[in-house]
Amino acid sequence: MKSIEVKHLSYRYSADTELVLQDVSFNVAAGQWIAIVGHNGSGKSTLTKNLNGLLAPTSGEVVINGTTLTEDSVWDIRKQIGIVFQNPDNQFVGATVEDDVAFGLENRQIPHDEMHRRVKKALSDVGMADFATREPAHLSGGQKQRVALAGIIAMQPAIIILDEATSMLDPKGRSDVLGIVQALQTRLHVTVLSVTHDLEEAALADQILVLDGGRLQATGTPKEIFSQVDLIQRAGLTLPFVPQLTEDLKTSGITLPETYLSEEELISALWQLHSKM
Amino acid sequence: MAITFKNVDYFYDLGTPIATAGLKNISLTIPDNSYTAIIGHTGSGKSTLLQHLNALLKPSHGEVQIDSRVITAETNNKNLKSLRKKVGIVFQFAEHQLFEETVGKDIAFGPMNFGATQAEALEIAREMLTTVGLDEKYFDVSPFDLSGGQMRRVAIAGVLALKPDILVLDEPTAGLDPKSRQAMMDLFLELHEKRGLSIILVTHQMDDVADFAEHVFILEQGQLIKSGTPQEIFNDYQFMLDHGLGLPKATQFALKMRQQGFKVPTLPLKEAELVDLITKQLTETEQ
Ligand SMILES: Nc1ncnc2c1ncn2[C@@H]1O[C@H](COP(=O)(O)OP(=O)(O)OP(=O)(O)O)[C@@H](O)[C@H]1O
Ligand SMILES: Nc1ncnc2c1ncn2[C@@H]1O[C@H](COP(=O)(O)OP(=O)(O)OP(=O)(O)O)[C@@H](O)[C@H]1O
Ligand SMILES: [Mg+2]
Ligand SMILES: [Mg+2]
Repeated sequence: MKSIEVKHLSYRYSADTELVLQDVSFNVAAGQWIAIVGHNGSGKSTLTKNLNGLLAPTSGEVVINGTTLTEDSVWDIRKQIGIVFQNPDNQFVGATVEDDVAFGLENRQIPHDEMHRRVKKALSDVGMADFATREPAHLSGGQKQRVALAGIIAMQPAIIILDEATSMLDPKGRSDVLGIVQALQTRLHVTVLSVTHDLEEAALADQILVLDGGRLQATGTPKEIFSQVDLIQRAGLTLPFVPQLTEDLKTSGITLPETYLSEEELISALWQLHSKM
Repeated sequence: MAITFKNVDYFYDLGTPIATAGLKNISLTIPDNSYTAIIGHTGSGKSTLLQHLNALLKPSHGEVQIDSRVITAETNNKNLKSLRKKVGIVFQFAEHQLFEETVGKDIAFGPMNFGATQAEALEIAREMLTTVGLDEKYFDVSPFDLSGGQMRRVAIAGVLALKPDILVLDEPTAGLDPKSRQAMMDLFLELHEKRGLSIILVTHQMDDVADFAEHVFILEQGQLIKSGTPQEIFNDYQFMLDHGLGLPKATQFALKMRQQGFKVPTLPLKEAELVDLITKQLTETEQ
């Protein structure tokens, strides 16, 4: 089933400014993990806001789980989408951490006991159980991001959109949180759209969308995208570590037949070369 | 301008039931003209420490010395202006510092506040806008109509416009695209090497620590738990992993090679060192 359909979407912030999204079309099947990458100002956040109706398309159409996004359907559609914004401070509504996490559930008629259980579980999942009664504004940067993530983990929406939601987490925190979202994806068949500048994270996605100057330049699997060095260059990106290392090894005279994405693949290719010598 | 912390404790909401320790008994020295990285988990006290560097926060106990200036719990808020001109801080959510009607005025605010004329300040602002890689067309745009990464660049430009002697950076590249991140890190390095600025960088990117820092301090739960050169701290990789801190990608890759059976006599920190190591391994066996 198609979870998200975007058809010829264009957007401008006001009549006298240029289009910041131009004729963007793509489909996402339910249960997929999609990474959206692109240079600063390429239109990623604008796109995510068009998906949950915070912004309305200048032209084109957004269809969520079969329903076209309109003024009438927007409230129902928002219940199916959980977004974590780029800046967590713009998102906090509760006076305490637990209220804040509960807020998204209150809007969804979830029974009180169930709500309480989910909030507790989500906070412990992100390592913030001890902070339940603290004020969100008075947390460290990474703690704020964890609380914002707990909000959508508790909500368990059909679609999760993360807009650079892990940019301020420490390395272990980042992989923990991505692991939790991945578990939701597989267990509940949640669709995940992750806007990220972390190419290592993008390399783990099912599909990557590359935005460049408001246009969708390419879509494909990580392997397809990261083997197009030209495309990456033009879009203002760089290669993840392993493909970059592969390129640099080739330059220094080592024969490697393909593009590798994971450390394990490249190491075993190198080991084969080593053994043959 | 050296910086010294002597037995610094900091408590948020001191004297109330919700008092929380931000820093515990921190003693450290950051030499003049150095490039220092401060790393540690979420909530370990990094941002709290940084805010002591221009007396935005004052130690609950102990003292912070910056150049000849000593700051303690009793220091009053007068006469901090010269300190704040010398120490420029790019905060973690730097976007929140933006407030003016236009990008240009926002960047010019600092210089004007420290005595530049409007014309001079706008001139500096224009220069800084290009320095951080933003097109001139954004000069008269509202900073609130920018993308996240564009806002961050404006905030960085605003701090650079003060021409500080010490540049304090709290995860300055979060939200920047990969190319801009490299360009920004190169810019900071150039300011350090060519203009002698001290750089104090908080980061979760171990590659940046390996590539740029001369010295590293590691915080955990408000305490200083380790310090050393990048080589020293990453050689103790088990410590880094046990404390959930991660390793530079080249180091991590080399460790996996070692597990596979490759000989890895010294651990590389940078990608170039790793390329060397692999090339040697694969050519030496040939002979
Ligand atoms: N509120 C706004 N009003 C007018 N223009 C805006 C507004 N928000 C963003 N823009 C412009 O729209 C373009 C796309 O911005 P968007 O925030 O979607 O980029 P992004 O890809 O998310 O970038 P980043 O990686 O920096 O977050 C940019 O050129 C930006 O300056
Ligand atoms: N304004 C505040 N009021 C009360 N407690 C605070 C405040 N700011 C931070 N804290 C607490 O102080 C501790 C240290 O926070 P700090 O912001 O220094 O961490 P950090 O190392 O910068 O973390 P991060 O990597 O997440 O930004 C944390 O436990 C945090 O919850
Ligand atoms: Mg954005
Ligand atoms: Mg911080």
